[in-house]
This record gives sequence, structure tokens and C-alpha cells, in this order.
Amino acid sequence: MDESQFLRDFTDNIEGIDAVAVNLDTPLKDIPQWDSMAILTTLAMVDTEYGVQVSGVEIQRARLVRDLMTAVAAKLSK
Amino acid sequence: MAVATISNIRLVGVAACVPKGRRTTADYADLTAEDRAKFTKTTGIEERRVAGPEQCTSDFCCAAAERLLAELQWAKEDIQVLVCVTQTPDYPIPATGILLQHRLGLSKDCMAFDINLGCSGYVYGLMVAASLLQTLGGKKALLLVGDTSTKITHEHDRTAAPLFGDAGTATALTYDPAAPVMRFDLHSDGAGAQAIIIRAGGFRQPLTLDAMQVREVEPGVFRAPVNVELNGVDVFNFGLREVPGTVQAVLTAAQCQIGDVDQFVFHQANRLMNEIIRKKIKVPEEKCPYSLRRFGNTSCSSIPLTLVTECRAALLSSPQRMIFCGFGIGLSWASALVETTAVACPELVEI
Repeated sequence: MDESQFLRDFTDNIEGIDAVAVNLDTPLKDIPQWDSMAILTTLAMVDTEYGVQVSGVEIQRARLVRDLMTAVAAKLSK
Repeated sequence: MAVATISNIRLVGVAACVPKGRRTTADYADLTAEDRAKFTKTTGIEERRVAGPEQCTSDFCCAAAERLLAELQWAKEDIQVLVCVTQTPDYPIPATGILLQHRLGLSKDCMAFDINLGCSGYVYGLMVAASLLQTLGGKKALLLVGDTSTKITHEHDRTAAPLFGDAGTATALTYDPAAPVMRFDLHSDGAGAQAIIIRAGGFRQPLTLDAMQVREVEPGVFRAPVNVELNGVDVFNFGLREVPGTVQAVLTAAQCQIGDVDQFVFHQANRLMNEIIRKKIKVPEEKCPYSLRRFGNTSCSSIPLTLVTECRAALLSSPQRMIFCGFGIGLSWASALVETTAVACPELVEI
């Protein structure tokens, strides 16, 4: 998994996000734009760019941006 | 299921009715101005119609049906089948379809009943009504489809309330041996029952005072167990996962390409989800009408309402080959391929 590509996909997809301040180890709760709409657009991005789906439970469990990436990567390797 | 084929049945009319009451996203105070802008950008919803306290689903279906019957000039005694699809009936019992048989002055020889389905309900109802009419081998059927979802959603549940609008519709079918075949692909998955649910008010969790008690279920989100609970993430994933396949199944069975179809009328869930589905199936934008902006998600009414508000000119002027696709509560999803020629389609009724 190309980590920097995932980070780019993640930040490109969320309007108003500070792409310089956010990295893979940023806690999602520290991103002010991470709300229910951002979750939907992220699900859409993951579906379109990676062809897999992240479940509601996985979204709830994710603490860091990296956790989302790990969830996607785990499905890609299956 | 394998794609089903129904011969001898023609869709000859569609009408829709909405309440005059409007509510705009801009006025929804449970979201901040910034969130409202984001909400509209993501869902495509700017305005919804909201039934008054005295208005029921049956009122909208009845007004749509009366308008349609007047335009078609049908003899009421020829209507042998009335199928009503709703999750917001007038009463827990008896069925709203039977109340409508009487209100519309239909014959006592007409069979009438309800189907409890939401967003997939139009396609399910169409298949049931068409199958019954084919079995009876004659005359006419009315499909009355509608919901007042605003009445079962808590106003201060910002995860659901700003999505839903109210409407009722009527669709007319006739027995006609010269009719082109209709094709249907219907599915269900009860494993997803929790994704959209009202937990209390049935018999698993009876109606009690406690069930009506409003709780703050997460910060700033309020609802009672008698209100709709919507898991947006699960529904979103479900739509992306299942919808493209059912549309493709119907196209394949009909040996049709995307280019052979004039309109793809999808349930109006939210714009982001519908657009991803559209792009997955590779349907061009101009073949995919939206009524979301002005009416929101109108549950089972969304397909016929979109036909009336967005496709009326095309339906009136030329033959149309259309794909209908509904998906949502159950979970349940369904597609149909329907061809029309001269369709009665009165202007949108407002009451």
C-alpha cells in the first residue's frame, strides 16, 4: 500500500481539511472536518479508488488516519 | 432470483401528489450554517415537502389516483387490483389499500392490500400488481405508493430528519397482449435489518410510554425508540455493493446496452451515493434524473415522483425504455425494465 498516496486520497477528498497538518498518525477526532459527511465521502473515495468497502464498525474503531488505511489494506490483501 | 419476465401488462399512467408544506435545508437549525452547506452539497437536498398533522399517506395517494383516473377516463369497475405500498399507513390495521378501495369508489370485486416496503417498494409493487393482473388475465390495476417519512423521523435527529420528504403516487397498469415485456430483478437481505429500523411500536418491543421517550442518543442527536433509526454508513455501503449488479442483471436479461435505455430512474437516496452508483454502471448524467433537490428522499414514492417531476415531457412525447431501481430498508433492492408509449402523466398535484 502506497502510504503517501492514501494520505493524499484521504485529504483531497475532505473539503476544508488542512492537508499540511494532517498525516497518517493524526487522530481522526483532531480533524475538525471529520464528520458524518466526511465519513460518507471517504467511503465513496475508498470504494472508487480502492474497490473495497470499509464498514461502519471499522470506521468507529479507527482512531488514526492510519487505521483507516490499515482497514483498506487488509481488504486489498484478501 | 433469476430475472422475471411479465408479458401482457402495460404501464399507462403515473401521477404524484405532495404536500404544500415546505421545509428547506437552509432553515434546519440543528445543523450549523457550514454543515447545512456541506449537507446540501453531499446529499443534493435543498428542500422537502412535509405533510401537515392532519395529512396521511392515503390522502396523497388518493389525490394522485383521482387525478390519474380522471385523465385516463377509466371505468372504476374495471379496476381489479389495488396494491398499496407504504410504511406509514393510516392505522396499524386495517390495511390502507382497503381504505383507498372505498375512498376511490372502486368495486367490491377489486382485491386490495398493503405491502410493507420502503425505498425498493415501487419496483416490488409494480411486479406484484403486474403479476396479479396477468394471472387474472384482464382489465386494470392501480399501484398506490407513498410515505410520510417526516412523521416517523424525529425532527431533532440531524442524521435522518433533513433527508426525508413526503409524497404519494399512483401508477396505472392495463392488460394488453400487445404490451412489451416487463423485466424484474428483486432481492432481499434481512441480515441488514438493523440498518434502517423503528425499534418500538410492533410486538417485539411494544408501544409503551418509555418507547415514546426522546433520548439524546449521541451529542445533539435526539430520537425515541418509536422513531426511525438510520445507519448511514451501512446503507451507503449496501447501495454501492448491491445496486450496480441488479441493474446489470436486468440489462443483461433484456440484451440491452446502456445506450438502448432512455432513462435510469433510481430511488432518490442522496446525491453522493446515487452518483457513485451511476458512475459504476457507467450511465451518462443526462439519463439519470434527480428530484432530490426539491423533494428530498421520498421513500417508496421517489421513482414515480421523479417520473412526474423530471421525466414528464419525455413520457408524454415519445416512447421510453426505462430502468427503475429501488434500494433501501429491509435491506431490499430491486430493478425493472419497463417500456412505455403513450403515458398519462398529469402535472404534480399539491394538497
